[in-house]
Amino acid sequence: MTAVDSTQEPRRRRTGLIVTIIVVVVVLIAGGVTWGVLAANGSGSSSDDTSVAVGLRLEPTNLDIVETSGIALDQVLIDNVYEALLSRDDTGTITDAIASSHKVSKDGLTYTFTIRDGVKFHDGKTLKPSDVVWSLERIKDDDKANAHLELAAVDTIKADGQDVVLTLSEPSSTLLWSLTGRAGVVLEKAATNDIQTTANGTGPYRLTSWKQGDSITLSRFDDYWGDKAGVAKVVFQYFTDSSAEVNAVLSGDLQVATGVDPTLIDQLKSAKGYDLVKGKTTDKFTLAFNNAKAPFTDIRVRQAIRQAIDPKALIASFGAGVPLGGPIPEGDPGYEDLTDIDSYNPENAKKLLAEAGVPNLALTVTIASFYGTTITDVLTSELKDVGITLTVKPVEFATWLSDVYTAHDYDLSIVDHAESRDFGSWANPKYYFGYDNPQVQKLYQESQTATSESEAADKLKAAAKIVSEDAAAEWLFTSTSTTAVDDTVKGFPTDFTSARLNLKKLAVTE
Amino acid sequence: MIRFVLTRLLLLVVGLALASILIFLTLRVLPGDVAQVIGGAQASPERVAAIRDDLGLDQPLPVQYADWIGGVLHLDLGSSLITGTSVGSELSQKAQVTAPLGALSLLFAVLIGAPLGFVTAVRHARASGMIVSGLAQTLAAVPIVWAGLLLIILFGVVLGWLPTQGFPRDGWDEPGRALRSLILPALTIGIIEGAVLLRFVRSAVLDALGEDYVRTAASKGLTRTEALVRHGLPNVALSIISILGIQIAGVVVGTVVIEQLFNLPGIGRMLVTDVGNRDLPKVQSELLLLTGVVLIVGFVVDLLHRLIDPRQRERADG
Repeated sequence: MTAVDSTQEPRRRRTGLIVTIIVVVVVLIAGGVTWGVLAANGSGSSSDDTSVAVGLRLEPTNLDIVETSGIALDQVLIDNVYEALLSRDDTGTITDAIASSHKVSKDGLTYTFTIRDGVKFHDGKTLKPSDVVWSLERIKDDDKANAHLELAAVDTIKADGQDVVLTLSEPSSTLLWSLTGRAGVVLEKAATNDIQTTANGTGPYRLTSWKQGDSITLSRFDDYWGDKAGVAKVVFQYFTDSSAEVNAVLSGDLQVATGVDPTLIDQLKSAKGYDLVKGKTTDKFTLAFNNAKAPFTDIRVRQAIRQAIDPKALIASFGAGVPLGGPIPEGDPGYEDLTDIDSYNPENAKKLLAEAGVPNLALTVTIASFYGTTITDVLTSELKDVGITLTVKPVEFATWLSDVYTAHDYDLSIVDHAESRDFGSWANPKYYFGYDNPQVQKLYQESQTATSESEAADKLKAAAKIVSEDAAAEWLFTSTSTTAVDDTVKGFPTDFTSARLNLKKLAVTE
Repeated sequence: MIRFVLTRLLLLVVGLALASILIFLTLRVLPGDVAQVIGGAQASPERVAAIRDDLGLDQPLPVQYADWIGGVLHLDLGSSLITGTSVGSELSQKAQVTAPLGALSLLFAVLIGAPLGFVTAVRHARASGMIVSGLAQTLAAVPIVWAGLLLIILFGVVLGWLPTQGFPRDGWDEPGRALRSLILPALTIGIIEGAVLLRFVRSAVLDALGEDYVRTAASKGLTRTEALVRHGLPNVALSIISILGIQIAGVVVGTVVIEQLFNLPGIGRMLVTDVGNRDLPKVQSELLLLTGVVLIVGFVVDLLHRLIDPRQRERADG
């Protein structure tokens, strides 16, 4: 017993020591936390240069403007960091950018762009017409390029002095529009930077840092050819959680928040010093039918589903939007109000389903989970009223791409088709809609090769009407965006914010 | 002792090897691939095929696995298919948020769980003790997102004391702000894990109360609490260390959820994004690293336990 006693003493001291160490560490860290709180409360440093922090929802996967898809890249980089031959204003009017002027021959087969003098890349080199030729040829030749098909009609691209001349194999009514985007972006031929993580453009802002999973920072480019940027720094902060974005506005961490979740707008209404601006979008929330598969091969089933849905109820639940009766949204060429086609009529929907021989239909809707449950909740109850049992299958976007988009393995699917001027999907029978109408394809082709904009728009209008009358899908609504803007921030665009954020006119007033 | 360390080390290595195979295979079952994500919702099948070919996604699985593990053994965690950046450097950058967040969460868990567990055990027959342990039972079952939202509303929105989202863009160059932005998220994880810890501490202390040495000490003139603090605490401290070793796993899972909710640019949020993008080489290295942390902490706790518990050591030596 005595032996045990004599060894226990130092051991007890050792355990005692460990407990003491733990206590000391705890006290030290707790002290550090308190100090941190006090220190942060005391510091309210004001920088002498202007900076605007903007909240965004969707972060690009990488910065490769040539190959990586996704409107999140165009939104932040085009017009700000990269510039294209042409640009567009918020009404959709095409303006000159890297080209100081452009002209199109009468037959619509020759496009001549005069390249602006004194345009500098962010690495200090001067832009030459040969850079333009190289950039466009790269997209035309590389089938991995995102805008590859947009230059399909282009035959040759040649520099002629300060001009760049494009010759076409057939007229293209969409080429000028395409050249305001990815197809027209000019990169430096001799540059060696990694375009997946850095950028060397000609725009009014340089890309100074990209913290993946967090933020993108732009700084004013002092050698910009046009009016210099009004603010020294713009930070795009990405939020995966919509209430976190609203909280960031409330705590003053953000001067601008785009794409505010409609259900959270009330929280912001009480915040002082912010304007809540509603804006237009081309975000077409579309309930796609698998047209190539039964029971959707029967037009009566498609019409019944359309007539079972009340877009007004849906918009009221979703919080913001305008009804959309066909594939082309307001603002795009070829738009007309088609909301009278297959308008809300649940009694007639039941009749149509009975005629088609499917009075008790069970369908599955596949939807990317980030859209939430508001829309599918309303749809489930509305379809139930006409005898359709709807099963909701939320999936990750990557799964949606493989199951629905590629394998066409679905009944119904809900997607926000956000791109503008994307009617081509309805003229492509291989697209996941599985919609195949030769008349629509012919009209679309004619609109593409039209030599005047109005002729192209008329063809699209006719085609869109056929698609809607065919009940190829139910166009639920075009969403309305809400942007929260600090009173001191001027010139922030509020229309079509998910497609393009041109910050040339951004300024801060005190 | 050496035999003990060696067997535990072997277990650790086997565990990591099995984990790597499981992680690798499970990820291959996920539908969708990175080429499709890069191509997006306008890409033709031909374009997706071209991207896939470019990224070398068509290699047989054993080759892909061998490539990966070969790199890991040389401490090269590979690189992202989407950005080409090295996984190791990005992990070390994101760890600047996640490691302090995890440590702070554990600290809160101990600060909450240990003293309260002690008090509820001593007062187990009184109303106050029962109420606290009942509350802990409830708290331990609360979903972490819900707890986080409540804390955001209380401390962030109503009281306005603490930031409710984000991490300073300059990181730890602004130590005060950085630390402040981690307090609420860490408290959220800490409360939930602390409630779990509380129950273990309570039962450990209750056990100690019934031990002979506490009764003997009490009969020698110490009050029961004094006897417990002087003689029972060292024993209880041991079980706290073991439980904390297990709770590391809970903290790791907690950070994944909490980083989304509080918009913190850490490993958890990166992991969710990378899974969404199907950037599998990146995801598998991230998962292996997190599994490694949990397994290694378990290993260290085992050793510590052995080192500071005289009974176990005697048994091993004898």
